[in-house]
Amino acid sequence: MLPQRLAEIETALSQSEPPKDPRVKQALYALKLLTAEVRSQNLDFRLLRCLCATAYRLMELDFKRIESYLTLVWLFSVLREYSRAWQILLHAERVVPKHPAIQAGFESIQVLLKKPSNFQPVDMDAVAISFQFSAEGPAAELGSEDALAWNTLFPLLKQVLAEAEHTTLQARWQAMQSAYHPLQAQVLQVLRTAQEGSEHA
Amino acid sequence: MRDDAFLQAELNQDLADLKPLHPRTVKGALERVLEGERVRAEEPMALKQLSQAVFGAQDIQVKLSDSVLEQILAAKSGEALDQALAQFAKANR
Repeated sequence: MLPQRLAEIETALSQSEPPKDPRVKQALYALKLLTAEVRSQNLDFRLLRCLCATAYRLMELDFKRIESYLTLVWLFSVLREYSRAWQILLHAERVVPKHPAIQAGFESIQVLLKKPSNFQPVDMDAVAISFQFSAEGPAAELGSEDALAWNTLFPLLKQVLAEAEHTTLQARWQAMQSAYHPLQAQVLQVLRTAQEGSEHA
Repeated sequence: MRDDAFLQAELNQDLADLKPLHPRTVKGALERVLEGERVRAEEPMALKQLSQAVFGAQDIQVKLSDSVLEQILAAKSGEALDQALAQFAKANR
């Protein structure tokens, strides 16, 4: 993040009015503590859930505070759901009084999306794991609509993976990750449902 | 280079197409993902800087007992969560 942007955020925070409602004050303090703790505990999921609950509570108490939206943007980003994070920022931009942290959020996500290094092994693993299923296996576990989607998508995905060079695969994965495309949603939904079906079987 | 430019143009278009989303509409989905613990969470550096700018960069010794943690997670109403957060704040004064 640019030093100038950091300075703008610091100025905005120092000029912001302290909350009058003690519950808001308390939620803000909890977000600060939980953010620090979640970082020191390697993003423990129980703490991530606490952060999520606290952010939504803060939003209920005062929907104009930037902190709740930024926490959700941060949460979606650690889950690599960048398009969701972007959409939350777009919403925050409409409801929160003008704040430099919103612009910083947009800039940060753009940086993340531009970086090829954004392809972490975990993403490739996710694809590999999904391909342990046969085309027939998950279809039997799913509803007819999902099964149809799976049967259509599976050969396509398999073909893409078989033909793709490593760099091409990265580019394709990035293109898929860069926006919440309907196809991406469909693919992810099918893969997730199929995985769950297999585990419960 | 052409590929880069193409991907960039595509990305810009995709981002321009995204519409604002009220956080409430994705609350359930986000909670389910966090409960499922199936994905690996990783904090991107760019967002870490922003989060630190807003919530503070210094390391804090946080006191969070299992009982308070469970209280926060089990809270079924805003008021119950307020009480759990009050306990949490009290322990860290």
